[in-house]
Amino acid sequence: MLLLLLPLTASAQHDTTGLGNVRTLPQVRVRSHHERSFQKLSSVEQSEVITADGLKGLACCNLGESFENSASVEVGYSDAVSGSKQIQLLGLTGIYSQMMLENIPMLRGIAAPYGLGFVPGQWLESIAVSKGAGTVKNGYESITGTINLEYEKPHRGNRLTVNLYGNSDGKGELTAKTNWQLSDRLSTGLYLYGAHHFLSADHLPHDGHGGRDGYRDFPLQTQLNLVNRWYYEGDNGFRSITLFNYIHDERLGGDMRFVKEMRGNDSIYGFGGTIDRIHVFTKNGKSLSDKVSIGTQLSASHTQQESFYGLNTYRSREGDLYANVLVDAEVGAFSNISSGASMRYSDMREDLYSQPYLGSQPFSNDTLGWGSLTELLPGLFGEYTLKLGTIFTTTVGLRYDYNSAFHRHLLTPRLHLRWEPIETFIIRASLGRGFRAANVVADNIGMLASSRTIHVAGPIDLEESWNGGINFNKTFEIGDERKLRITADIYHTEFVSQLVADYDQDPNQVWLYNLQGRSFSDVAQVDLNVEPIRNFEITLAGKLNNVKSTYHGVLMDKPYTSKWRALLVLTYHTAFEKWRFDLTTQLNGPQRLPLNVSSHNGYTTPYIYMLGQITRKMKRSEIYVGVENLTNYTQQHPIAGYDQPFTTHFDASVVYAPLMGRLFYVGFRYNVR
Amino acid sequence: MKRFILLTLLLAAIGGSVSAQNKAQEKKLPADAKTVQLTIPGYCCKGLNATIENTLAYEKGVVSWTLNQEQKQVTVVYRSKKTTPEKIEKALSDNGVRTEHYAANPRAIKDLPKCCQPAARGEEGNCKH
Repeated sequence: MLLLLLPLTASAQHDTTGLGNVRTLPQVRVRSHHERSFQKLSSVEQSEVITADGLKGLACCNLGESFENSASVEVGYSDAVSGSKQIQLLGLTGIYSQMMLENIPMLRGIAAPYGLGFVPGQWLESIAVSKGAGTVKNGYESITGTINLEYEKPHRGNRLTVNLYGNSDGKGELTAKTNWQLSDRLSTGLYLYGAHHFLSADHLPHDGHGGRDGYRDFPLQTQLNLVNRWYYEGDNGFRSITLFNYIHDERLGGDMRFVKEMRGNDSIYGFGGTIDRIHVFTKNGKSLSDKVSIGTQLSASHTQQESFYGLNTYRSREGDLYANVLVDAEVGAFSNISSGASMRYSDMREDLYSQPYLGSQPFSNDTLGWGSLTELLPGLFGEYTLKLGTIFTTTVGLRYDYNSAFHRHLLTPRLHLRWEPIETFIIRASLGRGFRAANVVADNIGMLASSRTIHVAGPIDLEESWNGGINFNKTFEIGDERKLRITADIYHTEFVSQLVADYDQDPNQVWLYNLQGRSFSDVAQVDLNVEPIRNFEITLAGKLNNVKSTYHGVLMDKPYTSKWRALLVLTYHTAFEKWRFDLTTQLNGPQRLPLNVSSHNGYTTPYIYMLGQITRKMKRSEIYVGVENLTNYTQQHPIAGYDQPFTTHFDASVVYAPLMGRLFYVGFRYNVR
Repeated sequence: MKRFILLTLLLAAIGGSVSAQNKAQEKKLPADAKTVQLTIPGYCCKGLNATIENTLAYEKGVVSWTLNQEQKQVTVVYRSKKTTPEKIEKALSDNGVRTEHYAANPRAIKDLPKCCQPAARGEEGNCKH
C-alpha cells in the first residue's frame, strides 16, 4: 500500500497529516467533468475542497481572493491603506485557524497579516478547508479549523503553463510554471510569479458627491515569488518532497502624492512595506511493511518585514524551525494508531516605533511586554482511529507540549466522530482544545493605520480555547448523475484566555490586554448545492455569526464580524467545458464598528458584492474575462481625517466593505503538456 | 434591479451558446469530411472515455466520433483539409491514450484513472478494475 506523505492521489484527495497512511484515505472517484469544489464525505472531519478548476473561475491572483465561492471563509481588509486582507473562519480571524502548506504549518506569527498575498492562486492544486478542531498531528494551534494548501506537483503538472493577467486598475501579473521529469523517479518544478501595479487609482468618493479623498484605493504593489520543488519516488516505498520558496513584496500606499523618499514626512501620509521571506521544507516517508509507515517533516523559514503607516514604524522578524516525525500503524482490522514527536523552535521579534500624533502619547516599545518571543516547543502525540466500515469512524487524539516561553505544560485532546446511519446521510461531531501565542502587533496590524495611542497591559498570556461542533450532510441523487446536497453545521468556540484589542473605550486609544470575562463564537451555516439541469450548478448558503468578547467588562459583538451572510454561486458550462460562466453573489450582513473618530459608528448596513467570469477553453489555452464588484458598492469615506492625517482625527482602520470599485480583468493561460 | 438585468443577460448568453451548439450539430457534413477508424490498444475501460472525448472535442478538424468500447476502436469523422488521422492519433497519445502508432505521454498517464494506467503504459491485458 502507498505511503502517503504525498498528496499523490488525484486532485486534492489529501490526508490530514501529510504523514499518515493512505489506507485511511477515501478512494478517489473518477468523474466525467472536473469539479470545482467538493466535500470530503468520507473524511472524519468536516472538510470542503476548492480545486484548481474551481479557482480558474475566479480572478484569484492570490489566496486572499480564492474563497469568494465559499461561505465558510470570509475575507476582509485590515485597513484602508495597506491592502492586506484577513480571513475569518467560524467568525474568528484567520490567526485562529491553522494555515498549512502541504500539511506543514505556515504563515503563523508575523507572516500572518500579509500571508494571504504570498500564495499565488495559479500555483494551487487545491485548498482544503476543515472546520473545527483539527488532528493533533500538526500541533496545538488549530482552534477554528485548518486550511491546507497544495501546490502543483512536478510529477503530475504540465510541462509549461504561462498565465498573463491584467486589470482595469493597472495591475499586471505573470505566472509561469515548468515541470521536468528528470528520470523515472525524480522530477522537479520551477514556478515563478510576478505582480506589479502600473497605476494608482483613487476612485473612492469621500463625500458621496464625486470628491476624492486623495488616497490610493490600493497600494502600489510589486511582488516576486519563486518556488523550486523536487519529487522523488523510490520503488521501495520511499517518497520525498522538497520545496524552496522565496518571496519579496513591496507596497506603497497612502496619499497619491506620496513617494518612497518622503518617508518621515509629517504632512503627507504614506504607507510602505517590504517583506522578505524564505521557506524550505522537506518531507520524507517510507513504508516499513504493509501495515506500518514512517514519515518526517522538516521545515525552516525566515521572515522579515518593515512597514510604516505614516509615522508609525513597525519592524519584525521571525525565524522558525520545525521537525515532526510520525509513525502510522494499522492494528487489527478496524483500527489505526498514529504517534509521533515534534519540535519547534521559533524566534520572533516585533518592534514598534511610534511618533506622537498631535495630542496623543508616544508608544514605548517596552510596553509590548516582551518585544521578542523565543519559543521552544517539544511535543509528543498519539491518535487512535476506529473505523467500522463506512458506517462509523472515531478518532481520539492527545498531544502534550511544553512551551518554554510561557513555562507551560500543555495537553491538547481532540475528538472526532463520523456516523453514517443511512447511506448518504452523515453526522459528524468534533471537540478539541487549542492554544496559540499571540503576536501583539501583527495580530492587530490595522491599528497602526490610525492615530490611536496603543497601550499594552502585559505580559500577555498564551491564548487558550475549546471548540466543538456538529454537522449533518445529506446527498440526494436526482437522476442523470446529478445530485442535490444539503449540509448544515454549528460550531461553538469558547476562549479561556485571549489577547483582547479594546477599541471601544476611547476613539483615540486602543488597549491590548488579557481577556477578563467571556469571549466566544457561535456560527451556524447551511449549504445547498444542486445541479438542476445538466452542467448548471447552483450553490446557496446562509450563515449566522454570533461572536462576542468582553471589552472593559462589557460583553459586546466582536467588531468587523458580519452578523449574517448569504452566498449564491451559479456556474454553467457547455459540453467539454469549452465555455464556462461563473457568477457569485454575496450578501454581507451588518457588522459592529468599534468606537472611532470617523462618521461610521454603530452597525453597518448590509451590502451586496458580486463577481463573474467567462472562460473560453481551447486545446492548449484559455482566455478569461471577468468583473469584480459588479454592483460597484464601495465604502464611502473610508479614511477619517484624510485631510489632517497627523492629528487625532485620523483613522484609516475602519474598513467594513470593499475599497475597490468595479474592476474588469482579462487573462490568458497557455499550457504545454 | 441592476443585478437582475445582468443576471438575465448572463442567462441569455448561456442560452444563446447552447442553441448555437445544437445548430452546429444539425449542420450537414462538410465537403471534405472523411471517416477513419482508429484502434486504441491502450483502451482499458470506460474510465478512459472522458479523456478520449475531451481530446477529440478540442481537436481542430474533428467533426464527430463514435466510441466502440468492445472493439477498442473510435470512429472519427474529420475534415481532411484541416487535420489528418496521424494528428488525431498524436493528440490522443499526448493526453495519455496509447494508440496504434504512438506511445502515450508518460506525464499524461498519471492523470488517467488508476485502473487505466497499466494499459496506457503498454502492459497488455493489465486492466485493473
